[in-house]
Amino acid sequence: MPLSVSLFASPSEAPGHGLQIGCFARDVIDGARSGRVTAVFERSGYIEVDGDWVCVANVDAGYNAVTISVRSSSSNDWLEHFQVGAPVVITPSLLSISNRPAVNLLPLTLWSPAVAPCWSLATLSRGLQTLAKWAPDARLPADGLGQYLYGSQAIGVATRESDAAGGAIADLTQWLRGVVDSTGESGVLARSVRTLIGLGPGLTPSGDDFLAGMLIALSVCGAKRWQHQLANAVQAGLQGTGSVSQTHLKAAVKGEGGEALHQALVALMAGEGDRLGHAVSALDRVGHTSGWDGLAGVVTALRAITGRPFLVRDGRCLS
Amino acid sequence: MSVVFNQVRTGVFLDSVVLMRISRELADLEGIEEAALMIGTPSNLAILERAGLLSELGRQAGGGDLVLAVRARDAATAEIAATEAERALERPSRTGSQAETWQPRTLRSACSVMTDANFALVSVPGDFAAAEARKALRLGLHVMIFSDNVPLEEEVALKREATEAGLLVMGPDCGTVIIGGVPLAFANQVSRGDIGLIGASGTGIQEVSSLITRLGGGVSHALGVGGRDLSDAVGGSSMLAALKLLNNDPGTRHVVLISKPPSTAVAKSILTEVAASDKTFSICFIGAAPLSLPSNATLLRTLKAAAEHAVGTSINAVAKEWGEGSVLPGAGRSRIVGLFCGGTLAAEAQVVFIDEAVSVASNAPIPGVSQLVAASHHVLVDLGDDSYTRGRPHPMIDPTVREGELVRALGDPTVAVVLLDVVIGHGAHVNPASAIARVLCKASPERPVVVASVTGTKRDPQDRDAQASILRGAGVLMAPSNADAARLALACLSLID
Repeated sequence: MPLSVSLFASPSEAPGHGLQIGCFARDVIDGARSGRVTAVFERSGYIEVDGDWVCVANVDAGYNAVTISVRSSSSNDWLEHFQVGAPVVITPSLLSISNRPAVNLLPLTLWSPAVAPCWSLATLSRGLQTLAKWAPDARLPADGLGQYLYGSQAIGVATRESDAAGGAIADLTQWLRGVVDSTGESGVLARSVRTLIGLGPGLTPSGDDFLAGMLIALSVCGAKRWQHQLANAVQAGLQGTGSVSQTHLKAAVKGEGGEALHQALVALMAGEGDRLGHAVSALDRVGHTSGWDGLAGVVTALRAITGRPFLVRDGRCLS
Repeated sequence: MSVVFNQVRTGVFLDSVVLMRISRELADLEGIEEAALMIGTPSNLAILERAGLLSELGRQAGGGDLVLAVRARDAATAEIAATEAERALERPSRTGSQAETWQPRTLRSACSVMTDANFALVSVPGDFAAAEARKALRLGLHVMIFSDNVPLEEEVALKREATEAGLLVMGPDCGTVIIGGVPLAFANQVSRGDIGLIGASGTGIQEVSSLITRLGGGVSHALGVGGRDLSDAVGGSSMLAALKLLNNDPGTRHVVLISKPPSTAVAKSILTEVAASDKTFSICFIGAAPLSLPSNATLLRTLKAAAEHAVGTSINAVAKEWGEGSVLPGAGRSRIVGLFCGGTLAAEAQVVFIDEAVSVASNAPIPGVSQLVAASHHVLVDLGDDSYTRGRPHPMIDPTVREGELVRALGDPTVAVVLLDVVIGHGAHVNPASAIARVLCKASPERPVVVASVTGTKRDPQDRDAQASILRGAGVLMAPSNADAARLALACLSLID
């Protein structure tokens, strides 16, 4: 019986050493006792617990709201028994896979993203201008929605997903500018989200990463009303994407995502060019296009905020 | 006539990069007009439909399915693409064979494959550390013992054996070493240069090596010796061995020694070795009474002063940050509470208080400072002390260890200034400044003034400038060094009057 193993196995026997856990992941496994492995990758795996998914990943994959970050003495030996469908037993001190200790949970501490900096319209504009200066040199991937980083007109070669997303991104921009009404199932907001959700290549499709970037940016800026409206639309459309991506979108609805995206966001808000450079380099290594897709969503939201200066007071957006 | 071929796989999850690579490999096959490999969400099915890539099978896919969609010039080509896709999708998701990931399980097997190795780092539970260190010495290796809880008699025996073999034992409980620019354990990404460091203190080495870098100097080697090395029992055995090594190192011009005050006998043997050296020395025995030193050595009161003496520049001439802000301690507040991750940083702050003639108490008092009791007024607490870390991670690794104390100090109406150190670098928490900022965000606007410094460099993984910026953003008054932070705290207090 799996539970008996966890009762008697010592956390120190586990090859994986838990380092940090994101808020979303913490909420999912808090009080949970069992689950199953649902996906396995080179440096990470996903487990399903009570209908929600949590990522268990090597620490070099970066911290994330949905992730338990793990370090081990030899590379990825803690992943050895991760097989899709394998039973997971969770105790406060240990994560066991198929009756074998996998990750010592005792050392886990809570990871929280970078806090909102002191910012103003001036610092935000400076951050966006810094990013815009890089436009000619940007190493944007050919796929995904990173091409919308500099406005709702895609730059570079159009792809299937960038073509499909163009109208929705333009509509979302208009919504944030207050030009169009957003309400209702048939409103611009719901329609745009339905178009973007699950759109594009990858395990977290580009459209999802874009929406996650918008949600996180609006949350960190304090744009509560916009964030709430967009979050409602995304939650209503969650079934339109895969389980892994749903997990990340659920965390984004709560205003949290990956470390690199948060770093880029706060650097933009604070107008800190050097920090932004580091953060964008880190984003470039996130997925095939995910980092750039998320950043495009962040920038779309931030640019809209600079267009409505009367809404910004004391480093908060009063949407 | 083109042929559209679809394949739907349920419950197959592949990394985005892998999916794109396979998709491109298929598209590049001879006779393939277009290919895509995507999860079957409604939005993706819509774009596949528009691209003329969807068959009836593909239209049935859902968000949990992986859809292979190919348009080929004929059925035979589509078949080839399907076979190729099958092969690619079945490829193991984890790369690296058993042979590629082999790692030695013993020191002996490691030495058999790394025949030129001359150094071992031992980090195992304290009960086993001495045995592993002894094995390393007998294989002719210098040893760094990161482990703590090694019995004192084992340390003495190990160091005696090392001395006889002409080897160096760094530790036990040696947390910081930099050899030839390579940081080991809790160390910072410092510039290379001609200043050697020998220290019985990890955070002391971190502060001095980081300040040297920020002053424009550089470090040849930084050798830790363990906190008990300069005790009478151990006799400074490792510091003497390290001195010999640096004396013979042509890349080292100047040496900084860092320690709590040694016993008279140990100090005498160390200073005899210093006098015989052709190098110059900065000696920082934190809290030590004045010593009679050879002409090539200078005694410095603080880590900051030692770094400045070694480089010949003042940190205040090069540092950009100094506390700015209009926050002043509220009326009725009169106490300073220092909450330190680094024991030597807490000791250095005590030196500053003594030099400013301000009475202070600590749980790790240096000579002239009283032991912490409930009624103590100004307090400087070493949160890395065993009493705080027993069964818990060190506060440099887990900032939550300090959070409880910080919340308490921020809510105490008698506290005027909270003084903090923030130690970054390899091994330290990824973002200690944010942990502090989160606590400050929740504090009352009437909270005490918070003063801090960051020990580390811009090239550290956490980036010193970024950490300082986060803290400034949270309303913390920043000082360019730990000693300056202690002085700034005292200056803030003086503003109340």
